Amino acid sequence: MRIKEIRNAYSLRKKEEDRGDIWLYYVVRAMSFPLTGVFLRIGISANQATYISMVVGAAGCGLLAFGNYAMRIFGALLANFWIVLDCADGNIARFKKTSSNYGELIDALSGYMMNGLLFLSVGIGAFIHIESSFGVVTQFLCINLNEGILIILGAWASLAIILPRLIYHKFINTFPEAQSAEIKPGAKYSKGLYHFGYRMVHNITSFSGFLTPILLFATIFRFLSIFVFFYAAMNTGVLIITTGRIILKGRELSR
Amino acid sequence: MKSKQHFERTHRPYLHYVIRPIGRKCLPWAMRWGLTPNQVTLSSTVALLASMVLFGIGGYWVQLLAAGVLQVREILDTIDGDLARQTGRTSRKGEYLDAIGGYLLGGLLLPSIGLGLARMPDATHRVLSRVVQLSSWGYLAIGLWAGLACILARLISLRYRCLFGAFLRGADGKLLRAASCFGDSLFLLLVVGAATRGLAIVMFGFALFYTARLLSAVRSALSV
Repeated sequence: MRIKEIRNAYSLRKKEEDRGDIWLYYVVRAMSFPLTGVFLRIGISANQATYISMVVGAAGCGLLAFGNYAMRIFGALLANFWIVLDCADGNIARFKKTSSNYGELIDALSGYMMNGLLFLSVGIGAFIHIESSFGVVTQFLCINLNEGILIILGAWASLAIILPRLIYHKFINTFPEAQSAEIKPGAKYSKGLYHFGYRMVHNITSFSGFLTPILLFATIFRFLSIFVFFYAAMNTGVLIITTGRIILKGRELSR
Repeated sequence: MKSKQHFERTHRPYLHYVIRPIGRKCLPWAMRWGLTPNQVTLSSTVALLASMVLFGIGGYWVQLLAAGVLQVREILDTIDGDLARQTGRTSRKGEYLDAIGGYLLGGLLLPSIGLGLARMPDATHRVLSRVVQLSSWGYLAIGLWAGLACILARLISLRYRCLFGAFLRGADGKLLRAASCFGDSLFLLLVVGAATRGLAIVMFGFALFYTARLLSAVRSALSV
């Protein structure tokens, strides 16, 4: 089976959805096609690929939390591999036309697991192996902080990225007429500064954006403390803006 | 409606026997004052936020006050639904606002209690310190974990409901009933915990409970 055939199963609609996520569209998706070919050749189903992605993601988080320097780099690589696997399972389902609700559920479960555990794991890892970058942050903020703040901010970053998803899904459940494209904060302002800002933040904070390569970079160059502080602040912003926009959209739809 | 009442009586006794009767007594006042269900929902959210701020400040009397404000929030939470049904003003917006209040409670209440305990550890901190070596800031981390586990479990259940149009049941029969009763007792236990300076134990208990609920939701989702 040729990679071209797998590529053809990648629908135009999906392509359009992915286009805004630069890293996903140009790098991850391209890497997922050969991997999909390998999986199809050895007979791995879409659901099995999702299970593999869960194991890879959990192992990555575990290594990031409790590993030494080399192990943490390997953990960051696994987090990067997780997103490739996350694309590969969808490719298999589309190619073999085996998409199902169950597949969608476990795919979502895998995503929630990574969103919920990655920042927490990085926070724990940064706490266990305090880097000089922690001193840089405290000097920059001009406050004396206990190192335990890294675990707290990691847990907060995870919570702040998960909570808007729950609110969003409740919104979709309550107002089925509002589908994802309409509610995305940038959708109403398809051009201009707001759209640019939204796209930029989305590309920095989401797994389909530059989050995992930044994580790898931060692990290699030992600035995980800055990573934790930065994402805690970014995710808090995402929580406030997304929740506010969804509530306003709900008000608009209920009129 | 009858099945809802039956479920509430068997699975949420504190709500059914304490909070709802008080709510029913307050309902005529709300109607007399011309309040809309959404105004009541917003008031309950404000009460929740106030309670979280008070829990976050910490200290014996402040936490006791916070637990009291949380009971008021619970009463308001029952009034909005009853008011909407009585006045024929049920709406999707109301249901949605009500749900958001519940999510904020699930995700942020225990972290705020953890923050308060981190600032001013209560009497049970000494007891717990004999079992596990825990710095006072550990309570905030535990509270955040409990909030995260609660939100993740609810997210999985909601996604399941969106995809399959049915509720994801992590447990059945007596186990479900025991879990529901324990979850429902959170508000009562918070009052008891605040009054007896034992909030740390209550928070530990609920952190374990939400972790178990998350694992149960993952197990159920994987075995669909």
